[in-house]
Amino acid sequence: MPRTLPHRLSPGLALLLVLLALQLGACGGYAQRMASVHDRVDRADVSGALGTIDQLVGRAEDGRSPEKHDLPLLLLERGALLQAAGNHDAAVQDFTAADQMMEMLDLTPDGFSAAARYLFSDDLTLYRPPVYEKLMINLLAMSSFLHLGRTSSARVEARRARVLIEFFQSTEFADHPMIGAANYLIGVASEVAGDRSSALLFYRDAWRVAPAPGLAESLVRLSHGTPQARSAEVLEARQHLGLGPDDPPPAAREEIIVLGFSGLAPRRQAERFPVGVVYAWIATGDGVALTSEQQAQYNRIMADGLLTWVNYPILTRVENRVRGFDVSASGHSGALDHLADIESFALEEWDRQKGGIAAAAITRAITRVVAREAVRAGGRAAGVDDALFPGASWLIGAAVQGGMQAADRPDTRGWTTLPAHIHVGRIPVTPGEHTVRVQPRGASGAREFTVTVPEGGQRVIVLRTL
Amino acid sequence: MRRNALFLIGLAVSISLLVAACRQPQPTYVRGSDLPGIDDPAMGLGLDRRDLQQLTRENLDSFFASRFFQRSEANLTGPPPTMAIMTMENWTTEHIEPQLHALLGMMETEMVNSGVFTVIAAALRERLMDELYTAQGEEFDQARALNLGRQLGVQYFLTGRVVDASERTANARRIQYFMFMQALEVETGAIVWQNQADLTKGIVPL
Repeated sequence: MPRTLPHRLSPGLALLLVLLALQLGACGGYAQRMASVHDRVDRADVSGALGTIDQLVGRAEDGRSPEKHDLPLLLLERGALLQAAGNHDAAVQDFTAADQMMEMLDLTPDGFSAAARYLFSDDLTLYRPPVYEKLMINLLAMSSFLHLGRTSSARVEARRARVLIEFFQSTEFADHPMIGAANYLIGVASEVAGDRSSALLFYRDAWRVAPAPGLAESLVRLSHGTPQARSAEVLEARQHLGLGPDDPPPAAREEIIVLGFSGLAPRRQAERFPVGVVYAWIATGDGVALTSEQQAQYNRIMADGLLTWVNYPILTRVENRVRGFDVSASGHSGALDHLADIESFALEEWDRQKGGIAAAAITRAITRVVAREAVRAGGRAAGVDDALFPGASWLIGAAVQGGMQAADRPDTRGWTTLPAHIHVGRIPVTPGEHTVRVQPRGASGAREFTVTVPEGGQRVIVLRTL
Repeated sequence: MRRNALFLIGLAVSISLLVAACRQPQPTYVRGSDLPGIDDPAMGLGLDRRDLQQLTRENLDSFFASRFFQRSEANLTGPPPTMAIMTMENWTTEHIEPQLHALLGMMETEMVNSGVFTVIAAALRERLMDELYTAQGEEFDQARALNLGRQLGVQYFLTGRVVDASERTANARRIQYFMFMQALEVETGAIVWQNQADLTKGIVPL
C-alpha cells in the first residue's frame, strides 16, 4: 500500500493531485456506461441492446475515452448478445478478438495502476477477469463454432481453454468447479470432432470433479478397448451406469447435443456504504490489512468524525427468468441437465475479493481526508487566508477532498452479459435430418433448429437466452 | 511571492500533463514501402507472412533436396505426375486457418515452377476437400484420401499439419509451432517424403 501524504501540502501540489485524479477518473464507471445496455437486456430486448452496445464498441474502436479502455469487455458483451440473437458467425469474431486482447492485458504488469487504486480510484487497474470469465470466453466461442459445424475452429478454442486450465492447475484455482464443466465441454468438442482419445482424457478430468450429463456413458464407451478402460474413473462411471467391469459398453450412437446458456451473471454496482461496514470487510480478505500508520490515521479520522461513507462496488444478482430448457427431437423429449452455476462462482469469487477491495476503498478515503487536512495546513502556512480571504485554505481543502472524491469510482467492470447457468442435453437420434425444438422454461421464445446428423456422429445446437 | 510562483508552476505542470495526455499518436494508413521494417515486429501469436515463409521454405528446401524429388526429376520422361496439395490442418491454439490457406498458394507456386509435378487445378482440389471434409471431424482421413485420389487420377498428395506446444505462466505465454509436411504416394499409400520445421512465438515481459 502507498505511503501516506505529507502533513502540509502546497495549494499548487494539491491542485495537481486533484487534476491528476480527475484526469484519471473523470468519467462514470463501467456500470454507468453500460446502464442503457442493461436496461434493454433486462427487458430481453436483444436487438435494442445490440444497437446500444454497437455504439459503445464504435467509440472504443475509434479510440475515444473512456470506452477505449473497455474495448475487450465491450466485445465480450457484444459477443454474448450476438449469441443470444443467434448470430454465431459474428459472435465468434467478437469472442476471439476479445480473447487476444484479454490475454495481452492479463500478461501486462500493473504497477502504476495498482498503486493508483489505493490513491485515486478503484477502476484504474487493468481489468483482470476471474477464472470463470476467462474460461467462458473460450467455451462460448467454442460452443458457437460447434453450432456452426466448424469443429476445427472449435478445437482451437478447446485447446486455448485447456492451456488456461493447465495454468490454473498450478495456482490456487486448481480445484475451481468451473474447471470440471470446462473439461466436460472440451471433451464434447473433441468427441464431435472425432478425436476420441483426447475426448476420453478431458471427460476423465471432468469426471474427477463431478458427474455431468452423459459423461459416464461417454467415458465407458470411449475407453472401451483402450488402457483407460480399467482406470478408476471409468470403473466408477461403469458403477454409475450399473455396469460391471466386463459388461459391454453402451452402443455408439448418433446424438444431437444441446447446449443451453441462460440468465445473466451477477453485476457489480457502485453503492455508498457507512465506512464502518466497509472497514469490517477488510478482515474477510486473506492477508489483507491496513498498515499500522494507516490504522492510526483511520482511528484518528473516525474519532474526529471526518469520514462517514465510502463508495464501494457490490455484486448484485440479476433476476433470471429462464430456469432451464425443455427439448424435443424425433420423438424424444426431456429437460436439459444443469452443468454449471456461474452465478454462484461469481458470488464466491466476489467474497474472496471483498477484503482487498475494502482495504483499497478505505485507504483512498483516508488519503482524501489526509489530503484535505494537509492542504488546509499548507494553505494556512502559505498565508492563503491572508492573501485571498479568511477561510480560503479551509475551502481549498474541501475542494481537494471533493475533487478526489468525484474521481473515485468503485470498480464495476465485469462481463455483465455472461450467462448465469450452463445446461446440456444429449439426445440419441438416427442419422439424417432432424428438427429440434428448444423451449426455455419460464420465458417465451421457443426455437426450432434443423440439423443433419452424420452416421456415427454428433451435431451441436446452442441456445442462449437472457 | 515565492509561494505564488510555486502555485503557478504547479498549475502549469498540471495543464501540461493534461495536454500531453491528449496528444497521442493517431492511427494512420501506411504502405510497407513508406515504412521499412513494418513487417519486423510480431503483432500477435499467430503466424504472419515471415513465419509462413520461414516454415514453408524450410520444408520445401527439404522436399527439393529429398531423394524422392531428385528421383522424380531424374525419371521424368513423359508428362509430370499429378500432385494434390491439401490445406494444412490446424492443430494449434491459434486461429491460423486463413494463413494456412494462404500457404497453399505459396506451395502450389513452388511445385508448379519445379516442373516435376503437375499440380491439380483448384476446382479439382476443392472437390477433393469437399469429399474429404464432409465427414465428421474436419481432419484429413488418409485412407479415404487415397481412395479418392485413385478415383480422380491423383498420384501424390502433399499434406501437412501445424501443431503447437502452448504454455503460459502468470506473466508470459509461449507457443512452439511445429509444421509437419509429408508427400503420400496414392498407389501404394507410402509416405515418400516427410519433414518438420518449427518456430516459437510468445508474449514475454521485456
